[in-house]
Amino acid sequence: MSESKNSFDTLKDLLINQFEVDPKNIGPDVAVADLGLDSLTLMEFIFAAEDAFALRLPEDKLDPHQAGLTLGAICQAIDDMRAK
Amino acid sequence: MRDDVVITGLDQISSLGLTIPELDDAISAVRSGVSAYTLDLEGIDSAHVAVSRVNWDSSKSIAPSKVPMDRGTALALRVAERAAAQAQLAAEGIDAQRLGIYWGSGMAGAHTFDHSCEMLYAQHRRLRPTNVVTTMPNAPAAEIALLLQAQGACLSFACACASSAVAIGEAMHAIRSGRLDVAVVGGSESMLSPGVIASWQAMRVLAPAGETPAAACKPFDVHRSGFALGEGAAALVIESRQHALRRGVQPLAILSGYGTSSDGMHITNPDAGGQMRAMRAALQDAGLQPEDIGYINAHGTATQAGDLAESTSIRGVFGEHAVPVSSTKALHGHLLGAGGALELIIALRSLATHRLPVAAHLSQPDPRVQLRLVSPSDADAPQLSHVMSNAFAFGGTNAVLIASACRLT
Repeated sequence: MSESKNSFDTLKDLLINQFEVDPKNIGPDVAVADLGLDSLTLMEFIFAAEDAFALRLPEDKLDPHQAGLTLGAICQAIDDMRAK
Repeated sequence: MRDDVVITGLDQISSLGLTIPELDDAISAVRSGVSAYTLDLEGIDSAHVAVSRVNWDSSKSIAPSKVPMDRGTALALRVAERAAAQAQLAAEGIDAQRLGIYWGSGMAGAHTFDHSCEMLYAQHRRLRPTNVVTTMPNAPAAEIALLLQAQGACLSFACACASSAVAIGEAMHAIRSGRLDVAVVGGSESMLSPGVIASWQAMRVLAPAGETPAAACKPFDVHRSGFALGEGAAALVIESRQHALRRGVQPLAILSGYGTSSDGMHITNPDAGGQMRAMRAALQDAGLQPEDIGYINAHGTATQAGDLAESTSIRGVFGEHAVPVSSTKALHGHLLGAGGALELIIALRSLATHRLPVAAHLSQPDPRVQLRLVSPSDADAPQLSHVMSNAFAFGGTNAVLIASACRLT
């Protein structure tokens, strides 16, 4: 799905289209805990992100409750896995 | 004197149409929504069966919870929202803590659960974090409560084919008892996935599609061969007449009687005795005599056991009063948990249009069925005042509802 699209834009599209997050609240430095999604929906978001890139993020990289886990950090984890 | 419970909003979605006018047109034209489905799964005999599919894309619907929705829940939300709009539930004058949701579904979540089993066992893929809340049987009621911000009782009823009829009747009693002012009631069902169809086919109760799938379901006919598994939803808004008057909302009809009983005899075989107890309880609840009823929307699943038991029970209660009867399942299929609500709405529409649904696909009535089945020449009913809707379930639960035209008061 996202071969030609960078990981951040893919996650941004997901958040806007599937999770109805306001685009102005989405940025690389935004903590996922601050997206206004509840814990169950955050799990769905991570699930959808993994599906979008056909990969599984390591447990230690994707805990949405982890203090300060940002969209940028998730993108970095995705990019690292895709580079392998 | 007891305050009436009145109906102030209603909507449906079924194979007969996406709106009430489309439903009216299909019933009036005796147009079937039944079509063919080929069940083709490795390891079991393939089958070509009749189903009743709703022509509506639910994949774009977003739940108030934002959780992925089962198709049945999407159907439920659509009708609940539209019925609530008709009844002006968003207007001032509604106490959210006295707004209830009473919803029926026989196999709520089955569509998604079937798909998730296929994902897990056949595709070896993981399940979504929300799989439980998408497939739980009270998901439709819960999503409707979120949509309408209802804070009164939010209850789900699972009594197979009687689910939504029971939901409607129990809500009526909650309003009469003063526990609620108003309730959104009804039912939803979505069963047209391979595993669910295969389950019903294993019971050998589904009508073969045959050469004319639209006419495959033939209630009360000697050529009956079972029912068309269907999908759909139907919702009503009910409230006390005083509550409707205070809000300035026009009642559409009166929900006047409800009776329920259990056969206590067999897990699937219907019992005429249990059905009679439910019909008599509904008549007593409505304060009516059998002669007052001008139309019965029969449960009429087009199974031999079901047709004959219902013929016996209607005759037992109504005696020589030849009340007009039809089963509209011939046209919209068997909606299981949603059936009672849809069929009540069809009976209500006959109160409004003064025209009874014709007993469809009846070429050779079973001589053992001693009922006045509605023929095209017998369909005009200018004096119609009270109608009955029967729902008799696997498990032995019987539920009967009576609705009445609004009297001028």
